[in-house]
Amino acid sequence: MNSRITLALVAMLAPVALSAQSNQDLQKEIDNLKVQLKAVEEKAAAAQDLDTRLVKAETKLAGDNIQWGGDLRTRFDGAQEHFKPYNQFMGFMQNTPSAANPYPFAPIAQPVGAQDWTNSVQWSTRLGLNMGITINENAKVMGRLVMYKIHGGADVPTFNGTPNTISTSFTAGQTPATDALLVERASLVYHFPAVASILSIGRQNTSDGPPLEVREGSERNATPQALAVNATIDGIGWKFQLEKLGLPEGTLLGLCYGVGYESGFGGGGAVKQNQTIVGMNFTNFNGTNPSAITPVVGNIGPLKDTTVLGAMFDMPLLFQIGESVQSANLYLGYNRLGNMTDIPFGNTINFPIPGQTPSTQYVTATANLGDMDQMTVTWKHKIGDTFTYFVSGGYLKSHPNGQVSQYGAYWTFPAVMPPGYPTGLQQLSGFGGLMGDPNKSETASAYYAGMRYDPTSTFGVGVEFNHGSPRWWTYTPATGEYTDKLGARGDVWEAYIHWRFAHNAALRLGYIDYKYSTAMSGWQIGPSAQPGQNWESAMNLSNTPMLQYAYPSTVKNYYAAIEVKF
Amino acid sequence: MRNTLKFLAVLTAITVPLLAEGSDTKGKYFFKKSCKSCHVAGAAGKEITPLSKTQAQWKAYFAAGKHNKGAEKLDTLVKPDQVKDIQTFLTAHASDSPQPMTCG
Repeated sequence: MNSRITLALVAMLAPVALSAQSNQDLQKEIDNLKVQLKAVEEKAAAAQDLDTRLVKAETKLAGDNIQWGGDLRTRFDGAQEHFKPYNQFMGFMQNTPSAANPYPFAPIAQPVGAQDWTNSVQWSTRLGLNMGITINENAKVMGRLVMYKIHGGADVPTFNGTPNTISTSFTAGQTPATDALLVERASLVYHFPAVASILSIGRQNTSDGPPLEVREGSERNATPQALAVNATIDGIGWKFQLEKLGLPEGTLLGLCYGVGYESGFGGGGAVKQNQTIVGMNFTNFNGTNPSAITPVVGNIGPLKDTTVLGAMFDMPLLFQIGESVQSANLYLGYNRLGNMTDIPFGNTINFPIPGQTPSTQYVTATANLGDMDQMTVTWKHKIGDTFTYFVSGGYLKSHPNGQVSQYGAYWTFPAVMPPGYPTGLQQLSGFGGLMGDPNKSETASAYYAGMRYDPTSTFGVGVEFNHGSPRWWTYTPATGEYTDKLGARGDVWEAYIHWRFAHNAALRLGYIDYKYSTAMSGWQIGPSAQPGQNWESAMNLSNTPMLQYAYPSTVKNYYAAIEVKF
Repeated sequence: MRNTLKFLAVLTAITVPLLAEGSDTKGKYFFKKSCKSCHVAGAAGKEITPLSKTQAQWKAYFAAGKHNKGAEKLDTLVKPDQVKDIQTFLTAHASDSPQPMTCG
């Protein structure tokens, strides 16, 4: 456009110049104008180039409404597992009815001696892609996609220390799976400034919650405390910002509702009411009166939804003592888990019976077992930039409804043992009622403590310890570690070094020592104690229990990882 | 044991030079104390959070050291060491950082 104007000017000026000046002057003037014209053309070309670049930038910006970030971790694990002697449940055999066992079948078991297993090399890669999409000034979509797999062919069954690993969408990103990108988080977050609250609907950020960020050396990743849940939950959450009530800035009160098992069509909700024998009642059996053994009848269907109704309180504190600036967080949580089912819907990856191969079972819920109350509290305190400590506690209380799982309630038969092996009543570690008792309310507890010292901004060392009581349960499939840690019934120590050797890149070295006291860590169900039995003793791994699946008594896990964030 | 100590000593030697950086925790504290009085939603200074700029933009902002559209020098409003802490906090949680966050 500019060049056209210039040409027009030249055309208009030329006659005037011809009439007023000599040919020489005219030629000089034309030369000058040509120089000016060239300069204008160059400027126009530059402007055109700038315009092209600007259009490109604007186009990119317009299409770049998804903000991406993420992390990549590649990790080496080595582990040594020790198994104490136990009796392996092998199934049932035909039986000639007798006074001791009037039924045409009887359970059989095989004693298994102590064993040591080693998995010296296990590499894994975990990729996380975080995304945020701004819808409008008050609405966003937040998401996280994950891939976590062991090196090697996809779909290799991986045991994570929670006998037996259940592979469901809840565990996306927490336990190794395939090379597929799974959705760990996907929620619509809507901010209501008028009522100082935030609504979140969808797959919530319920994984890697406090105080796991201390070990990770990162910001808090989720609202629910790690001792309560560390898995992906679908639901709705509403957080109220309480700072307007005079509480410290950032204080939140959150209410949430989620569905753990949808029993709609295809999920058991449409199953007609029926009954079946799911076990035998030995309460009045004294060894000589088989007629006292009575069948246990379980109700089949229709299944109800498993729900979670929760409340959380999060109060961050930031204060100065002398020259030291300190931060702290107080977290309180309560969850009511309604209509708990015996088992989720998915694949179980069974720990192999020694000498046999791993197996995968496709399972689905068979019964609602009752409700549970879950309470957690965490205090985290960071002194300056160098020292952080935390203490966390959890408490569980069951409200069983008398139902038992139809997968294994009948395994509470007294086992028929070969001569020379323990005789009498044997408790089989299989399935059963809620927290090991379908009729009586049971409790469990756990605590988790740790500290981290960061002498520099790039180097930190930490140590952690957690303990779970014999009936402890929490839904924390292995959170990136080789075996499940916070769901352990027993003691777990961990020590680690975290060195950020470059911008957004870190090396992590660590060691985790597990001592499991009780069978069935990670399960919310279990068989009842037989009359005269002590449940904790019957399930104690030191007492040569009868097990459906093998459970390690100790695991020593050392690891090295490279972690990058972007 | 001796080798472990040597290893830790080497790591410390490598990382100590980075101590010159400001403090993230202090930065958050001083940002709230010094900046949030004006830079909140609805206030004259308009809301500013770490997310308001990218890491490069925060770096450029603090390199210029100017406040209020160049009318004031930053270190006349906040102590120089606190400016460094605030810069560390804002940059560490900028919109394009691995850990973006709002203040609070």
